[in-house]
Parts: sequence; structure tokens; C-alpha cells
Amino acid sequence: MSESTYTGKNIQVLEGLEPVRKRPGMYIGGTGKPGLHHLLWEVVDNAVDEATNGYASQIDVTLHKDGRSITVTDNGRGIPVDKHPTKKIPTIEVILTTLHAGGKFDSSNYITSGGLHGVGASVVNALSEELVATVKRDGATWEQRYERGKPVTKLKKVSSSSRGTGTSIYFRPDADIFETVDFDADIIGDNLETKTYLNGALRIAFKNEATGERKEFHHEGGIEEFLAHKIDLAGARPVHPDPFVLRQEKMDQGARVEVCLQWSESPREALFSYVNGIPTPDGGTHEQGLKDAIRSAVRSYMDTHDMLPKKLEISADDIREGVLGIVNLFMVDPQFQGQTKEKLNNPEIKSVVSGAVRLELEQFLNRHPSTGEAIATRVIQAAKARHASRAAATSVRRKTSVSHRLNLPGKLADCASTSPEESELFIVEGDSAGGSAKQGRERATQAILPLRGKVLNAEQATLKKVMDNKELSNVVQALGCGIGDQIDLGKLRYHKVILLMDADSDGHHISTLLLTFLYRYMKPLIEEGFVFIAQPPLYRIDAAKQTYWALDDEDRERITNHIRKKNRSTKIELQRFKGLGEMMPQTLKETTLDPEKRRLLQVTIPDTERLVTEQTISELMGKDASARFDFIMNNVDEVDDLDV
Amino acid sequence: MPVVDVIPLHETTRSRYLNYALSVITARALPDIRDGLKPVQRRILYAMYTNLHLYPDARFKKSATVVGEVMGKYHPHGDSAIYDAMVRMAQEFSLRAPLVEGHGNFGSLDGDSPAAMRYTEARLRPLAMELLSEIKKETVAFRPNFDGSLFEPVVVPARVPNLLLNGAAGIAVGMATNIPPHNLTELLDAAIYMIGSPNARTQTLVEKYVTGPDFPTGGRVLNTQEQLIEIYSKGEGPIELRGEYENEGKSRVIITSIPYGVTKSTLIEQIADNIIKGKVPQLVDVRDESTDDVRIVLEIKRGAESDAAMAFLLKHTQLQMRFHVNLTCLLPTDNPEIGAPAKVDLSTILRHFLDFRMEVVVKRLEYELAQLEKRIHILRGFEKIFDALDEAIKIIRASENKSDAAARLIHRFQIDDVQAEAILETKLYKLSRLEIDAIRKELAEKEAMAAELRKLLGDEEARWKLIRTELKEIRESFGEGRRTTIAGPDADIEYSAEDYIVEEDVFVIITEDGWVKRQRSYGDVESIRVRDGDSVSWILPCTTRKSVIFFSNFGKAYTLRAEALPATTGHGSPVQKLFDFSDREVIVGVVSMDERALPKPVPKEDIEPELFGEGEPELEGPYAVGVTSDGQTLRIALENYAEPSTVAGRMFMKVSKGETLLRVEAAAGAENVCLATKEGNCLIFPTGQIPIMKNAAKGVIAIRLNSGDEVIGFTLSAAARQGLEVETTRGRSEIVRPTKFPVANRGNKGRLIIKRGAIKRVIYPTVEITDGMSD
Repeated sequence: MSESTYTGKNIQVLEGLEPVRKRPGMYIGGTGKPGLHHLLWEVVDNAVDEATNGYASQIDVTLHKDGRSITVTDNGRGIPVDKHPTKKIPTIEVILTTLHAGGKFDSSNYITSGGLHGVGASVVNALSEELVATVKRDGATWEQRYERGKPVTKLKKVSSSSRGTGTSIYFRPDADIFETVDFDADIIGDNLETKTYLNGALRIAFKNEATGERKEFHHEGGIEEFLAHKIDLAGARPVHPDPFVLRQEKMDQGARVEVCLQWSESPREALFSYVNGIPTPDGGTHEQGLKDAIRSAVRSYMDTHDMLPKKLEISADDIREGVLGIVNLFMVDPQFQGQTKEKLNNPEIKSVVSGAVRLELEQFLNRHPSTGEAIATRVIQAAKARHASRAAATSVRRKTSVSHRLNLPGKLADCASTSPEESELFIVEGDSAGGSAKQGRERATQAILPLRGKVLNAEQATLKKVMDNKELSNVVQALGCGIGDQIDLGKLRYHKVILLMDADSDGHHISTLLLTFLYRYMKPLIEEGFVFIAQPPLYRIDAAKQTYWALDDEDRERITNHIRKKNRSTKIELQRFKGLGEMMPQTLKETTLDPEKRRLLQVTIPDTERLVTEQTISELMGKDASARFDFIMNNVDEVDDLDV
Repeated sequence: MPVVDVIPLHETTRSRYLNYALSVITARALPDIRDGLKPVQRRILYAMYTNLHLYPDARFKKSATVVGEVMGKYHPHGDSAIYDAMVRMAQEFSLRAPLVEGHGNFGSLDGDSPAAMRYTEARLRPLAMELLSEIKKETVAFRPNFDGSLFEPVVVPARVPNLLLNGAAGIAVGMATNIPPHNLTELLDAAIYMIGSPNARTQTLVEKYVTGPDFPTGGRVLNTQEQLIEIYSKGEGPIELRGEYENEGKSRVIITSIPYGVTKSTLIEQIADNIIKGKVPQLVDVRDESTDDVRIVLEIKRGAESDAAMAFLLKHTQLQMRFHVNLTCLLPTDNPEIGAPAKVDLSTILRHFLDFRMEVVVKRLEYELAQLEKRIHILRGFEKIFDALDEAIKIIRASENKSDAAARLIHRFQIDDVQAEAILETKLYKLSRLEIDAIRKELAEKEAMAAELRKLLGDEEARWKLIRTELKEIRESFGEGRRTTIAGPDADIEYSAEDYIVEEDVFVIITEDGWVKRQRSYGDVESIRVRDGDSVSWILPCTTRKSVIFFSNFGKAYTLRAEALPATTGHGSPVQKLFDFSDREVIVGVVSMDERALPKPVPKEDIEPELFGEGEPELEGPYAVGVTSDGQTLRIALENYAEPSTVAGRMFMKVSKGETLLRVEAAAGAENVCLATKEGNCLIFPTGQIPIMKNAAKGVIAIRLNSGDEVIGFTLSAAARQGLEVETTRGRSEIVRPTKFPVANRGNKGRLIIKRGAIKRVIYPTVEITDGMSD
């Protein structure tokens, strides 16, 4: 720069870059590693803008041996080197030394651009120890050197017989400004590759002189290929084969979008948004618009095809669960929050994007019924899971309130002890027997849960039906250890679960139904030996104004002999006992409940009989009525005492 | 002594389940083959007869009394189960021959529930006495009740074949039963016949006597006799049952009976629902005018066919239904207290009834004989005393007390305790001459009767005769005519879906994106509502009864009646909602089968004969013509695709993989095909040169393509100035029409119409036919 052109105006320019060095965070987000790399993105984005607008096709990025300096070269038009009409210095110098200077405010040169604040190149310059700009244009090569934003040489023509056009920027960030000045080759590589995904025509070569590695990035498949790559990385399993792809060809209302979407089994949604090729990790109005479009298109599709379940509310989150997507927006005048450009702020974009995507996505679903169905199924599954987990969360919350006992079924008459080892739960048939049992129990250790009527056959019902069944869910709640895969025996509240049923056929039926339920949904309880069957007495013997209870035929013989011994002529009245409700609570206690006097059957699954157990349950309780019929007809003789 | 025994899960489940299953089978859900009763029914009847003496001529008693008696003494289960069972035995629409006479509200055919048991009253009907009266004569086995304090009958000595008479329904474990009711006269005739022909086959019985079920609610059985014979022989099968109706004048149909088990109010709701939804346009109203009979009035629309209305109701409501016969019941075993379940045929049921009858009659005769013999024995005692009356009196007078007198009499007259006791209890007036004569006469009579009984007991033939006489007596007192008609398969009223569509003119509208709808009218094309970015491609006149055929790029044709399209001025529905389209399948042609929308048929002589490459067309027009991207073409007769298809559609053209059917247009047969390829070749040839395919085919070559070239579109031109509008990559547009380019032959290479670039796209105008429809 010559002294003669060093005027007051130039001083203003210099002052213009001073704030950048004073508060670099305001322009590049910080002086750490991201800020350092941001310098590179600014330079690369300028090159990509040339490519996006069709002027360049090849970009070379070279990380030099020191690991601290980089050269970015494109084969675009080259930054103009002519004298700027108002600044009277070469245009390239204006661009590199003036904040808010650039060719990108005028859409005649650039239609869309990433470095639209116009601060890009000058900020990089201001924060670099050294920057060398080389321009090939009109058959000549020009070069100018800067230090910390100030030109240290004039713009010189270094060759007048150059082929082609293009710009090359060498820069070395200022170690006084940045906490670290070492570039990370991996980050650079990833970022450059992303840019080639977003612009299918673009080729970027990245050379790392330190390692001698050279990578060429070129992805003709564009965002579609990009999404496949993302899905691969995430290890997500797509629920439909072909992604939804929208590539608008023309600008509409000042913008044009490219969108690619695919639903997967992943429980999360992952949308990657870009504006003019620049990532917007914090989203913004274009991402909002896409989300709105997904919601309304899928909902409208499901509504049109009567796929919306009646009693299930479907939220926008359910619709987007598992969706992976790329949205790349091209627009003339993007407004970002901050120079780091992490969030798009243009309010009008939301409706532009949603309007463009919604119709296309809905049409895509209609045109691809199998995909539409797969997505609808995925959405319903998400909604169901959300409802289930919300229900689970509520019940967990309730459990942690004042006392977990408040959560127990109302019918349960719990015991005082909280120690599972000594606690027993009697599951009793019917309220009438439950009453007797409650009065006759040992309240310290024995809990009573009466059931009403026949419980559900768990073998023929779905888990949902089982959980909806009041009686069975009471049992599950009372036991406290969960169900199915979630069973946790550590939480089991009783180490003896005793089935207490009438000794009649309906009692037998209820005990088989309960055993089936326990076998199917709480098998560890049986395997650990926690399940028992109580044996109430079978006979009532009245003699000489005394009542005796006999547990079985043998017992009966013993008692009658005993009475006869005392007095031969005593009249003995024998009665086959029917229901638990017939007994006085005291009698029930003495015969059936009292741990000292009762007789229990412990239910087991012997290792050698696992198969036959499985067969028996599925044959007797399963849906195949003919298997049941055969079983009954083949085993008629086994039954000795029938109840009529 | 705490005891814990161990039991494997499968063993305890097995034994407990078996116990439950057999209890339900033998003592709850299935009726006995002999008396046709389930345990709860038997206990109710027995308690009413023996404990409460609720004979047909007794005063009614509260139902609660009966239920309490049954529950407390015989049936330790819920009170409602007992009451429900009793109510059913009283309902004239449930049992063909009700056994209980109810007083008060016992429910109705409309499904009203009966009044609570504290309000209603009950007693036995005369026919029930035929089931119970012989029970006093020690004719059947008894067993202890649930607590061993009383005895109850294992079976009641039924004198009528109640199992078939009243039927039964029940679900046990692993098996079920569903026996329809029958006509008593027919059953008794069959039984009487079987006395003479003990080995009578079911076929004979059905042919001659038991012609089919006889439901208390009447109705018509539509099965053939062969089908019925098979059902009664196998013990199972479906019976088609239909309610009865008759025309009353031209404007009404009266339903006079409904199928067994159908709730009348539900049926009327079903009918009304169909009328409201407009599914039976022939009907305007349904009214229930029933009192104690069934009278459902259907108002027919003026001029409409009542047969069509009835055909709809029979198909879509419970006015016709299926009764699945399952003749499962309990058969007696060696253990008199337990029966074994079996599915049996008709003759087995009657056989068991007769054998049981014989068993009961023998026991009854034996009982009567024993009673007679007891009396004869006493009378003989009197006879001895009467010969020496004065001496006997003397002995009594001289005796110390009654037992002394008895001992002396026994010693003197060689009589036994029973006779002596009877003599000592005799009133003095019995010693008058007349009374003595009467006793002598009685003795003679009783002896004669006893001789008669002994003879009967020794003569099976005579006993069968007795049984026959008794059955005949019952037939005289209780027999009645059939209520259900065994009609056989009458000429089924023709059911045709078209009859139920109200015919009206509509416009069928299909958009570029494949959204379809129908509208009664529209202003102009622009005013038709479509989704943003979409546009109308076809507007065709049709009527709700006529078909619309949708052709897809996959070579499939989907047909429905225009009625099935959404009638809306909104967006309509995507075609994928109406049919099972595959991914990427789209509509490429639509034809309305309304003659206003179809091309006018061309007289054959107007088509130049040489244009028929493959000879005379075999199938009549109008046709449809399709061309694929790889230059294949075919012609189909629309008539073959006019009937509504399934949602899967019909394949009419086999399109090669990777290729697509570009468009399908309706043709009369005299049009020219105008087509263009991407590279700019165009060809015009007569439609007549395209063969008509009956089945899905690949088609024939329309145009010979350069390699890499493809057909981009085609249209049919009926007039010289009509043609295919194409747009070139250089932005020019051109119309391929016969006035510009000569008509050539199918299979030619065509002629290049552009010098540079290619053809970018074909512009199809909106197909709008308004012919004959004004609005």
C-alpha cells in the first residue's frame, strides 16, 4: 500500500477490522478450536458459493506441514482485482479489509451464498498472522500479502500468462488470538465431505501435507447419498426402503429446498439442516417448516386412509420419532443468529419450506402405499410406546409418593411386616371366603387378596388384555415385582404366594387359571419356589357335639377311628366340605392358614419336565379346542371325585 | 406340624383342569339324553314338584320361593343362574313346549329382561307333569345332594322325548351343544314307529316323521331333505333359518315371524339402520306393530320392488340366519350317577328315550305290583279273621293290651305282624256285613290286577304296547301342529348389488395426482377444488350405478361403481384409498362406462377393412387402447372390465420390467393412434390395426424404436385436426395429427419431426366430456 493512497478513508477501514481483533467471539463464536476452524469454513464457503452458483467445480484445500496454515483454492471466476469505484483501491483489498464488503448483497452476482454477512474474508484476514491472496483472472495472476488484516504488499501481477481462473487464499491464524492454532485434519475432512454431499456436482480435494494424505470428496448422489451415510453411521434400521426425496429445481418465493427423509426404528429423530450448504446445528425456521410439513403430511395421509387409531392420540413427536432427514435450503438473504450461523432466523421461510414439503410428502406417501403403511405403523407404534411409558412414569411417580403402600390394590388386606421373607400372600377365591380369611389370618405376616369370579385366561389373551384385567393387575400390584421381562424378584413383597381356592370344580378352574398366568408372566416366582397351593379340609366330621376337619380320606379314617375308640356308639356325621365360606374364621385359621398346622403344596417346574409343562399349559389353556377335547376324552378315567 | 409337599406345576394343573372340565361337561352344561335336562333345570322341576307341589292346578308361588328351595337344597350356585334357567323354561319363545307357567313379566321377544324374582310367580305346566309324575314310583335312581342331607333324582322319568322337543344350548369345556326344538307330534310318531322297527335309521325317521326342527318362533327352514338327513345323521351341521313375511297390498311387506333366538328389537334396529343409511332404497319405513304375535311392517317405496328389498334384508340382517346344530348330550354309563358326553344322531336319541321308557315302565309296574301285593296281603289277613269274626273279637277283648292281642291273633289265625296290626287298627263299622263284602270284592279285584301286572312284567311285547298306548295318549293331549315350515331351498330371491344404488347423474373427477371424487355438477374446470399444485385430468359423466374403470401404468384395471366414489366438492380421496395400488403405481387412463362418456360406436363398414391387420374384431367395442414406453400396444374390450373388481384390480397388460404403460384411452375402433418418441419420431396409424386381447398380454409393437429411444406419449385422434401436442427441448410445440403427417402402419419406424434436440414432454389436455349432461 503506498503512502499516497493512505487517506482518511483507509483509516476508517482499518478501524473497521479493529473490533474483530478485540472481540473475535462476536464474529466467529470464540477463540477455541471451533473458532479456529471457523476461519477455514469462511474461506471454504466463499469457494463453495462460487461452485453452488455454477462458476467453480473444483476446490483444493491444503493443510500445510506446520499444521497451522491452510491454502484454499478454487477454479471460480477469481476475486475482482480492478479498482473499486468508490474506495479507489483494488476490489480484492476492499473485500479483505472491510467488514460488510462483498459481492453477495447483490443477487446478480451470487444467487445464494453461505458467507452472506460479508464479514467472512475480512474477518479471516483480521485474525490471521499472515494471509496471501492469489487470483487468476483474465490470463494473469495477482498476489497480495496481509498481516493481521493489514496489507503488507501491494496487489502485484506475478504472472501475465496464466491459464484459467480462480482464487487461492493462504492463511495462518494468529496465535495471539487463538487458544490453539493447530487445525484438526479429521474435522476438516468431515466438514468438506459434508459440503460435497450437499452439492452433488462439487469436488473438493483435501491434502494434508503433514501426513501426505490426499482425499477427494465427490458425492454425486447428493443429499440422498448423504442420508444413507447418516443412517449407516447411526446404525438405524429404516422401516421403508426408499427415502422421500424432494429437489426443487427453481427458486420459489426467494428460496429453494432439498429434502431427504427416511423413517427408521431408532427411537430418536435426527434432522440435519443446512442453509446454502452451511450447517445450522441449532435448526431454525427451515427446520421448523420441515417439522410442520412432516406432521401435517403424515397426519393428513393417515387421516385420508383411515389409519388413525380411534382411542390413541398421536402427537407431532410420535410422527417424527425415528425419522432421519436432511434439509438443505438455498435462499438469497438468510438471517442467522450470530456470525457462527447456527440458527436460521428468517420467519417467512417456515411457511415456504412447509408448504413445499407438505404436498410433496403427502403425494409421495400416496404414491408409495407400502412406504406409507410402514410409516403409519411406525407412528402408531411410537404413540403406543409413549402412552405406555407415560402410564408407567405416572405409576412410578405414584410409587415414590408418601408410601408405596398407597399404591396397592384396595382389596388387599396387607400384613404388617415389610420383610418379604416372612410375609405371605393368600390369593383367595371370592369376597365371601376373603372375609373369613381376613378374620382368621395372622395380621403380622399374612396378607389376603380376594379375587372376584374367574380370572382371565392368560394363555389366550394379549399382554395388554392381561394388564387391563382388574383382578390380574391387582395380583401384579400386590406382588410388586413387575411382570414379564421386567420382573425383579428383589422387589417381590411376599416369599410365599399361596392360592387358596374352594375345593370344588370352579376352585380348581381358578387355580389353573392363576397358575397359567404365573407361569406365563411371572415364571421366576414358580422357579424360585415362591408359589404354593393351600389345602383346605375336605371333610367335616360331627360327633358328640364336636366338629373335626379332615384334610383327606386318610385323615378322615384316623379321626373316625379315634372317635370310635373313645365311644363305640357315638353317632358320626360326615360331610364333604364345599366352600371356604362355609367355615368359621377360627376354623379356617386352624385348618388352612396357621403355618404350624396347615398343609401346603409347593408348585415346582422340575428341570426334566419343562417341556411337558409347556405342552400341558398350551394344550389345556390354549386356543385349540380340539386339543382340549382330545385331552379330556383320553383322561376321563383319571378323575375320581367329581363335583355335581 | 407344618407340612409342605411338592407338586410339579403340570401335574396339578392337569388334575385340577380335568376335574373342572369333567364337572362342567357332566354336571353343568350338557343335557341328559333321556330327559333332555341340564342339572339346574332338573333340580328346579324336581323342587317345584316334590317340595313345593307347584302342580298345574296349584296356586302360583313366588319365583323367589322356588329359587331359594333349589339353591338351598340342590344347587349350591348363584341365585341368578337358577332364576334365569327357570325363566327360560317358562318362555314360549324359548322352549317349544314350556315346562313352567310364569305369572308376571317373564321377558319378551324384544329382549326385555324378566321382572325380578320377588315379583314373578310360577308353577308347573301340565306337560311338566309328564316328566315328573312317575318319580314317586321309584322309577329312577337318586343320589345324595351336595351336603348329603337329601336325595335328588339323577334323571327324571320323562314320558316325552324332551331333549329333542325343547332342544338345548350350552358351552362346556372342549365341547358344546346346540340342539334345536322339534314338534312333539312328529317326535311321538317317530318313537311309536321305532317301537315297531327298533333299528329304524335316521334317514327313514327324517323322511317319514321328524322332518326338521320346529322352532317356537316359527320361520322357514331352507335346507333340503338330504341336507337335513345328513345333519341328523352326523349330529351336526348348519340349518338355514329365515323369518316369514308376506306382501300386504303393493306398499307393504309384513314380517310375521323371525328366526329362533333373534331379538326382535335388534332386528328392527338393523333394518332401520339400513333404511337410514340409504342401503335399501326400496324401503321408506319400518314399524313394529307386534302385540302377542309378530308383525313388523315394512313400507315399500312407491313403485319399488319388494323382492329386492327383502333380498337385501335376508342377506344383511338377522332376518335370515344360520343355526349350527350340534347334537351333543350325556349318555348313561354303568355308573348311574355319571353320564358320558357324545355327539349322536337322531335315531340314537329316540332309541335311548324308548329304552329309558321301558326301564321306567318296568320299575313302575314293579312298584305298583309291590304296592298291590302289600294290600292283598293285608286283605288276606282280614279274610281269615272275617271267617271267625266273633272269636277274634273275643280274643281281643280278653287281651291285656294291643301287643298281647296281636300275639294272640297271630297265634290263633296264622297271620303275621302286618296283618295283625291292620286288623287291630280297623274301625268297628268295618265289621258290618256290607263292609266285609266290599273288602272281599277288593281282594278279588286286586288279585286280578296283580295277575295282570305280573303278566305284563313277564311280557316285553305287551309292555311295548303299553308304552305305545301311553305315547299316543300324550300325543292326543299335547300334540300340536308345526310352527316352522320346512320349505327347502326356495327360488332364492335374486340379490343384485345394483338394485340398492339410487341412480343419479354424477361427474367423475380425477386429478393429475390421482385424487378422485364425484360431484353432481360443476361450474367450469377451474372452479373444481383440487389440492395445491394439482390439476384436473379427467371429468367424465356417469351415473351412480355405472362403472368407472381406472387404468394404471402397471397394466392393471380397477373398476368400481361411481356410487363408491366419495361424493364431495372437497378434494376427494387418493385413488390408493380405493384400491391396493403398488408403490409408484399411478392412474394413466380413466373410462366411464356411461354411454354418454364412451366414444360413439362406429358401424363396421365405416372402418376400412384393410386396416384390420388381424382380421375382423372378435369382441365388440367400445375398446381401450394402451401404449407402453417400450412401444408395445394392445386393445381390450371395455365390456370385459366393466364389472366392479376387487381392490387388487385386474391385470390387462403385461408391462415389461422397467417400462411403463404411458396412457390408456377409450376407442370406438376407427380412430388413429398418434404417438411420439423422445428422439422425435412420430407415427400415426389406425386403431383397427391393434389386435384385441382377451387376457393380460404383452401386446404388439406399435412403433419400432431406435435403441435408447422410448415412446413418450400417445393419443387417439378421431378427427383429422385432432392430434398429440408435444413440446421440444428447444421450447417449440408441435401437434402430431393426420392433417400434417401421413397415416402409416403399425410397427413402422415413424418419421422424425424435429431436427435438433428432443421431445421433452407430451401435453395432454384435460379430458372433459359433458355430453348430454346439462347443469
